[in-house]
Amino acid sequence: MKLSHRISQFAVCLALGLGAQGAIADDTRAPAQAPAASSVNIEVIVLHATNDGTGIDPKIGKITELSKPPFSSYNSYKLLDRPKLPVEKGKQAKTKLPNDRELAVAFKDVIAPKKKDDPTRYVVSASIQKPGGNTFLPLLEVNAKAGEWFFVAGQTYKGGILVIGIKVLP
Amino acid sequence: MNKGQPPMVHPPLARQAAHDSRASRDAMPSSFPDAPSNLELMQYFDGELDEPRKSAVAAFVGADLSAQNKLSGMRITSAIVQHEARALHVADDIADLVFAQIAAEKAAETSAPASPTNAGARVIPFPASPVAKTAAGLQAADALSPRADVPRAAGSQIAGSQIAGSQVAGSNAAGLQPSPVPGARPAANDNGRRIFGFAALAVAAAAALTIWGRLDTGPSATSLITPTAPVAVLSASGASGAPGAPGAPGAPGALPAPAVPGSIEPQIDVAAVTPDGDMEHGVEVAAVNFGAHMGSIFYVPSDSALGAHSLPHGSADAQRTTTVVWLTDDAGE
Repeated sequence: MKLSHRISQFAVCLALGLGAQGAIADDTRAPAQAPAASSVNIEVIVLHATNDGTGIDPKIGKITELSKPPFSSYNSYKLLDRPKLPVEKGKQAKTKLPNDRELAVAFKDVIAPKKKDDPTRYVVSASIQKPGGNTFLPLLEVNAKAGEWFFVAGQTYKGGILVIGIKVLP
Repeated sequence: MNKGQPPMVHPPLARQAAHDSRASRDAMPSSFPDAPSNLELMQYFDGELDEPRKSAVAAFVGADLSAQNKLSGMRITSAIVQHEARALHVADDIADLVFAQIAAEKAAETSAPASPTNAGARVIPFPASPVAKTAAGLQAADALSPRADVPRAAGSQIAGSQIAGSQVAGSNAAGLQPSPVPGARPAANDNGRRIFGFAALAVAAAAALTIWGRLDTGPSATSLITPTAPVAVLSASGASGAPGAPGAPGAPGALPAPAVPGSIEPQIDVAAVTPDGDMEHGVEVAAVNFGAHMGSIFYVPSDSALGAHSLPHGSADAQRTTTVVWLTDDAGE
């Protein structure tokens, strides 16, 4: 009688434990089940920043950061180019800049979110090569959320600088 | 009989009593018409009485019991007072005596190798407490020959103090000796229960860590790169500045000079130079190599982070930033 009682107690505990373990496992595996992207589109925006007082080019769209430091050190931004580069995972795409340098962007990986509410991040790298073979920016590797701009600025160009924006579009 | 003894110092009380009892000369036995007064007895005791009076007083003391008692009282009083004065004298010179003893020990160590018998620490006892000294003096006075017990030389004084000190130490040791109490508590170093308590705590902590580790959603196997804190890899540059930012040069080319020119790719924590590390970065810089240029990384707060009051404070949208990598370009076009 006592033995059967103990066995039933053990069975109940085992069932509860397995149930909790399964719930925990489901919780941890749920975010990882998102399909990994094999290719993305990378949008590049090339702006010419000057202090000629012309303001921000309406073609640029709504990038409010251009009116804040450090971008606010220039009062005028003109859209020069806006290519959209499809890039496969593990490969890179190149685009020529107005100063004859070459911007290379690569899609390296996808980072699955840790939690359910976390967004998927994309590992993207960028580099800028000079025409003579020298490198202006050897490497910039970021973990970017989809649709978020990040900027590479500082190359002098025609009395101002070039501001290059990069955004991942899955 | 007291000729060989040095003159002794009598306590004021005794001398006052001697003066007061000058009138008690009449109390002496009538068979001795020239019975000595107390003062003469005192002078006789101190050896200050001259002949022929000294012989007369001696004869009187030998025949009169009261005079003998008075002399005995003088001896006791003298012994106590002398012992007290000697003890105070030793206490005044205790530091000198200790250093002299240390010097003597050092000299002995240098002159002769240490042997097992004298290798141990040597205790230099201190003078006894006044109570103990008084007791010692009374013990000596009981023998009615206190002067024989009173040492004269300095070294002998130390020996006397050692005796008195050892008596006090002995009494203290006897007082501090633990006495067995029936039903007393166990020893203070009985840590059996504590050890069991710590073991239980350790097991509980291990269980908690195991559960916490299971609850933690670590990076899945599909992600090859785990997101880490942004780290900037600088080449030949280490300084950061914000062109256009408050307090920074206006032109991007006017970034401050590198602190260590020619340094080879130092790694810095970008989060440390970020104004607000709690903000969520839409784009996290995993690695950057500025090459031969100087560069800076900025996390510019977005509109919602700066002025959108409609968003709840502390939400992810309210803390969004935009990542900007700014390089200097000396070569130009």
